[in-house]
Amino acid sequence: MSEPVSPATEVLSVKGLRTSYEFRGAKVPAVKEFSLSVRPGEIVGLVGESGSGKSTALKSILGMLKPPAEVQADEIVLDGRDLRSLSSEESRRMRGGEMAMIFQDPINSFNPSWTIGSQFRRVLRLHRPDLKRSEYDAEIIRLLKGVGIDGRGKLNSYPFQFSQGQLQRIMIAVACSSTNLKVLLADEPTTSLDVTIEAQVLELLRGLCAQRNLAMVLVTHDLSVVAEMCDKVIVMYAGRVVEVANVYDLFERPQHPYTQQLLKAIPGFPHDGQRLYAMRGSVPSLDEKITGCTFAARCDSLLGPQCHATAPALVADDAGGLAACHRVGRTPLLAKESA
Amino acid sequence: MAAESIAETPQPGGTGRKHASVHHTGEPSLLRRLASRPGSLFSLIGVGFFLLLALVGPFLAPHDPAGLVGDSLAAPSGEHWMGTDSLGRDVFSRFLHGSQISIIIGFGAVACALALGTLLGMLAGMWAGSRVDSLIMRLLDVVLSFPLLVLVPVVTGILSERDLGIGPLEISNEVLVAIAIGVVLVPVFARIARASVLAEMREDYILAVKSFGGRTRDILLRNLLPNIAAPLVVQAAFALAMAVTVEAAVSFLGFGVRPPGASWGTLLNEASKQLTLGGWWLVVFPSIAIALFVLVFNLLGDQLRDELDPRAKTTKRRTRSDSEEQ
Repeated sequence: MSEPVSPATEVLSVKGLRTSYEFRGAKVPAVKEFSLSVRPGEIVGLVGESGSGKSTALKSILGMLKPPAEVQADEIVLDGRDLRSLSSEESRRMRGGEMAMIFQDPINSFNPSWTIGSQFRRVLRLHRPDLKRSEYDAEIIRLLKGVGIDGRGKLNSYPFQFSQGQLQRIMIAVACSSTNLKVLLADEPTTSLDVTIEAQVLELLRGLCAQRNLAMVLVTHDLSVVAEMCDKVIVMYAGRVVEVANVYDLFERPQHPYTQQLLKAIPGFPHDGQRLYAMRGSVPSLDEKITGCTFAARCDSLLGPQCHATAPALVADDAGGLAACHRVGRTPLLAKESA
Repeated sequence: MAAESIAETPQPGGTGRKHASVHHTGEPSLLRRLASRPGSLFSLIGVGFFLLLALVGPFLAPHDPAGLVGDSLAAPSGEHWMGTDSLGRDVFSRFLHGSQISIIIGFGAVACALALGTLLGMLAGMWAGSRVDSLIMRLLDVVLSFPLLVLVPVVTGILSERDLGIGPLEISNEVLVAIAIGVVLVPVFARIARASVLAEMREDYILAVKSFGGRTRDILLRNLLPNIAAPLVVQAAFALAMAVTVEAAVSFLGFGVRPPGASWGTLLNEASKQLTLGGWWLVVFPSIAIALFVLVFNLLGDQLRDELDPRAKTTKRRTRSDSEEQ
């Protein structure tokens, strides 16, 4: 086991994460210079359009990507341990033990051939050496109760016999079964749920983080979920972090044009009779070589030729966060400008 | 938070995945569904008959299969139901013993091929694109490049010349034939297993197992295997018919089971020499047995495919409704 690398104020710290895929002999970058830090009990939101590299970043952190994917990082530290130095066996034990992930589609996240009970028992066998086999079922029922499911008589049921909302809660119970869990990675956990169930699952996740002092990284498309749940937000575009801000500043004083345009695209209620705003164009493909800002082609607030010439670095902005835009620090706040 | 009550009945479309195991959906069991259709019922009865033949056949033989018990080339009669051969041996007794050997060789070969092929295919699929994958698949390509009816006689022909043994165990000619046929059938199962694993590895549940720290053997045996079993079971039914045919062909050519041992192939081999003398009964019974065995297992394979592959089922239903509309 490696020595502690940095002070453990942050339970998870990632710096300079780069993930690329080898495709037809060339390296295609999917995540570029990604950094994040999260403290115990804190919820960090990861937002961006499809294809911006959010899920790939989470899988890279958890060490789940295998060739042809290549993951490099300056630092991935979990509770003082550098995950890059772990052996494959140590890495396997860390997954689910100290850091677990929940997925978007709960029905497909369970093996259809096995009962919920048998799948749950296998996870307990991996991460709960303190339990005897005879104690597994009682522990499963206790964990399920914690997520609002009465598990009595249901451990022999198959995944299809539960609703999506129930399955997602069971998945959360499985993910939180390790007593040593420190970080929960949630990859769009409510996308496939209807609105009422979504609220329940979000409430459950927030409660768990508070009760167990868990750190959570929440990937989502939905900015209202971010507003409801997160303390800090990281906005990604085309594999790169374009803005980091606390949740209040992000909605009140967005610094990056992409964040502004994302917020502008949220439909209002009641409908004010205006046409809904739609961002033009789409996220550039991963193998597209762009010399300047990757967002320049879709930006409503272009500064000038320099936007197409050089890629902006992620620098401290006027709102106390970070943003990767040439305008940052040079002009009055973009929010005021656009208002 | 109030707990939701679990649905008493399966929810419509609730399986989520196309091939979610059909036996869990509250439908009748696979065996019951097969028995409900005349075609598959016939194949099930046939399978039962051949299994019974293999298990108890030799105990029902009225004579020693190698014993000279009557006149040579006697036609079927009350005493010798299938007549006698050129040496005066009871053909019915030889048929019962031969059936056991042919069927056991068939099942043994398919069991070897299914086990080895599935394991190799799963390993190749799990590490697709790696050197392990390339090595396994190229080796299987080498086996596939030889015609079936050439490779098996060559392997058995070469190996049976020597007395093979592992320690005190001697490998009999019948075992050798089963292994040779099994080796030839390995690529069929390996390719199906690899393709199925490649598809399953993209499923979220495999990602979830990995994210919870599941071991490779758990992923392979507990998660992938149950979900790729259906196409392998279907293929095994077809492969059984093929294995028995190959055994018969190889033994007919004289490279398989050796006299005085009996199998359907050796019975035909002996019959071929007597056909011109009018000994039709020597050819008819083993031929009927082989044809029936192939028919029964091909039919079973077809029915299993229909039951276990929902896409085939849908296509069939759609084709039927299209033709009804026309």
